[in-house]
Order: sequence, then structure tokens, then C-alpha cells
Amino acid sequence: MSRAAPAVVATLLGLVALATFKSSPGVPGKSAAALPGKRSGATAAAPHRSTTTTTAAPPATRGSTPATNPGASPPATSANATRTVDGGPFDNQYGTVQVRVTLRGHQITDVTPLQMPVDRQRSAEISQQAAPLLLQEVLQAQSAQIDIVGGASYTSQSYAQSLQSALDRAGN
Amino acid sequence: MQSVRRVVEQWGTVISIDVRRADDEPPFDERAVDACVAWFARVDDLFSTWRPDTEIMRIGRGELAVEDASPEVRTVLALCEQMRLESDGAFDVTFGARADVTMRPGLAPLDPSGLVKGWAVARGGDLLCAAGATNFFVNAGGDVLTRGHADAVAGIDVTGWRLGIQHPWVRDRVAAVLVVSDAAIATSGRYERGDHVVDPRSGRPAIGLASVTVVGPDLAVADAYATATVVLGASVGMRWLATRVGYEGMGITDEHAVLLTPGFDRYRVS
Repeated sequence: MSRAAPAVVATLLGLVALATFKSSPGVPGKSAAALPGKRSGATAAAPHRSTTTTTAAPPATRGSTPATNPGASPPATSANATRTVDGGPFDNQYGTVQVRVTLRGHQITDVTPLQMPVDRQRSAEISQQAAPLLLQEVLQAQSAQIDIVGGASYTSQSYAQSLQSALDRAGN
Repeated sequence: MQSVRRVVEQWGTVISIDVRRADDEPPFDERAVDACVAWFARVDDLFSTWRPDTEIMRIGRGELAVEDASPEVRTVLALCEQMRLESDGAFDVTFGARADVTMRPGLAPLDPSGLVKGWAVARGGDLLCAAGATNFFVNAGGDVLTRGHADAVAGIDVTGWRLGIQHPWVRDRVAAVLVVSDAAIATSGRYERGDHVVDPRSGRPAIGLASVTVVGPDLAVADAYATATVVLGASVGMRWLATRVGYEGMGITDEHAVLLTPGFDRYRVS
């Protein structure tokens, strides 16, 4: 509440503080390694937890900069194999979204759209922008050590749904 | 750390259930997750506005009296009416019955969808709690219920779940990161969907607030509060939200300003 509390709302009632909005308030500085195009696998993202398995995610890295994974024993070779898994198609008001996920072990190294909506003007705009931007979102959420993503929207929600289903099929 | 994770397609969205157990705890009985999923399917059978045979559609068409409906339907409609009165009409599930409203797919004369999702997730969480789950979340298309914390690792200070709120315009960013433990988090807003929140009092799109996130004890109420706040707008809505006991909120205006209720900062880490 120490932020700038201008004007009408705060002064009138003192109930609501108005904070200057930062366009990159997420976890600045921690996302650089997770931008798309960096397909070297250096994203150091937290592995998605598998169903009923012990994960190797080092808890000490929560909320901190991506770790170098020092203490973890080297995974088996098969666990590092690169594979692709297709998510299910999900519909929204603009069309159908389906993605393909590439994993090395349990780490997402790429997400490519198999289907994106193109049926309307607005859809076309979204299609042109959605894939790369959403890819950043997916990877950044991991690098920011977020457990859950709240909020929802049609295209990105469908995208997340398809991604989630791909991860589910991968047993990731 | 064990993680029992289930992802189901339901209600036109995806519901993720994630239950965590420390390694020295007995394994979680996944039948509780099955029961949770079955409950979500029953909710769809009762409340879907996309199928003509559900109770909510039959009530909307006047074929079924509310007093003859299932207890779940009566409970939800009573809660909707409470929310309508509390919000002075900004939350109104009978909006679709207005003569001047153009019907569209999924809009029904009686449409409690904005509250049912949160209500049903909360009851699903009760099922998990009753089965002994202490650390879990349920995320239904961005509306989230959390209990306990993410990783029950001895010696590690874990205070809750880290939850990112999607940025309304910059899709590779989150607008805030919250740490929540036993909480319900609901978000209402436009994002890229266009003006999809309609003011039921005027029939016109709500303006001013692009996104509102509400944190509080009950997900059904948080859901309704988030929608009502968007409808009421930045000044009136956020002031109204600030007076809701036990609930805090963050609104993002069309001008990219962030409005917080006084207690919201205790959840926010960035």
C-alpha cells in the first residue's frame, strides 16, 4: 500500500489503492532464459510433476533464479529422449486450437500449433500472434516457478487446454 | 513428494486436480478424485446451458418449477439471488430472459454459469478434504481453489501455492503472482474475447475494468463478486468489492492501471 495512491478513489474513501501498472510485473529478469526460440533446453524450467511419482524438482529453487540443477543425479538416458506429443483439439468461439509439444525428458522444449483458428478477421489476428506469444507464456510460467495459472480467455485457454492434454498424454 | 494429478474436460473447459502428499504420508486414495470428477459431470447434467434437457434449461423454459428442482439447483439459484441483491443487480442470472436481449449460443433465459463453476469446484474440494487431502488445488478454466501448500517437504519453508494471474493483454506475462494457501481465486474479464461481460441492468457491455481477480474463502461467491465488480466498473465496482467482508480483489482498468482493495497486498508477491 506504499505505492502511489492517487486521486479520487483512495482519497474519497480510502478503500482502494491505485498502483501504477507495470507491463512486466511478473518476474522480470527471471524469464530471459525461457523465451521462445531458445530451444537449447537451457530453460531450467521446473519439471511438471508426474502422476504419483517422486519428482526431481529441487524445492530450493522455488521463486529464485533457475538453478543449475546441482544435486540431482543424472537421469537415465531414456528419460532424456526427445519426443513429441499431440494435445487434443479444443474449441473456442474463434475456432479450434490444437498444439504439439516436444519434450526432452520431462522438459518442454517446444510447442507448435497444429490448428489455430482462422475463420474470422479477429481470429486471424489472434492466430498470427497467439502461437509465439503463448509459447512465451507457457515457458515463462515455468521459469517463474508458478504452480497454477489463474484467469482465463478463449484462445489462450484452448491453447493451455491442448497443452495440458498433451502433457497428460505424455505422462508428464 | 507424491503428486496425484487428474485433468478432465468438462463444462467446455479443462479442470485440473492436483493433490500433493509428502513421501512419508500414506498414498492418497484416488477414488476421491474419481468422486470429484463424477460430481463435476453431475453438475453439467444439472446446469449446462448448452443442452436442452438440463434442469436449468427446463426451468428457464418454464417447464420445471424451481421448488421441484434438485436440491443443488435450488441451492445455486438461492445463492444467485443473494448475489443479485448484494450487487444491486450487477450480478443477475435472469438477464437472458429480458425481452430486449438477443439470444446467442450458450446464453439461456436462466444462466447461473458464472457462479456454478466456482460453486461446483468448491464442493469438489470438500470431497477431496473429506478423503484426507490437505495439500491440493483444483483449477477449472482459471478459477482456482487451493488448500495447504505445494510441496510438503521437510525443512523447506513453503507457505502456499504460487498462483500467476494472467495478464489481460500481454499473454506471455502474468499481471501478478499471488501466494495463497486456503483460498478461492476467481477472475472475470474480457481478455481478448471482446466485451463479453454484459451489464444486466443496461444490456450493454461493461466498460472500465478489463479484468478483476477476487480472492476469498468461497469460490462461488468470489466468482460472482468478480463478475459484479466488472459490471459495476472501476470506481464503483472496486469500492463495492472493498466492502465485501473476507474478500479482496485486484482490478485492471482499460487504462492499464491496477486497483487493489486494501487487503489484497497480503496475497501478492509480485
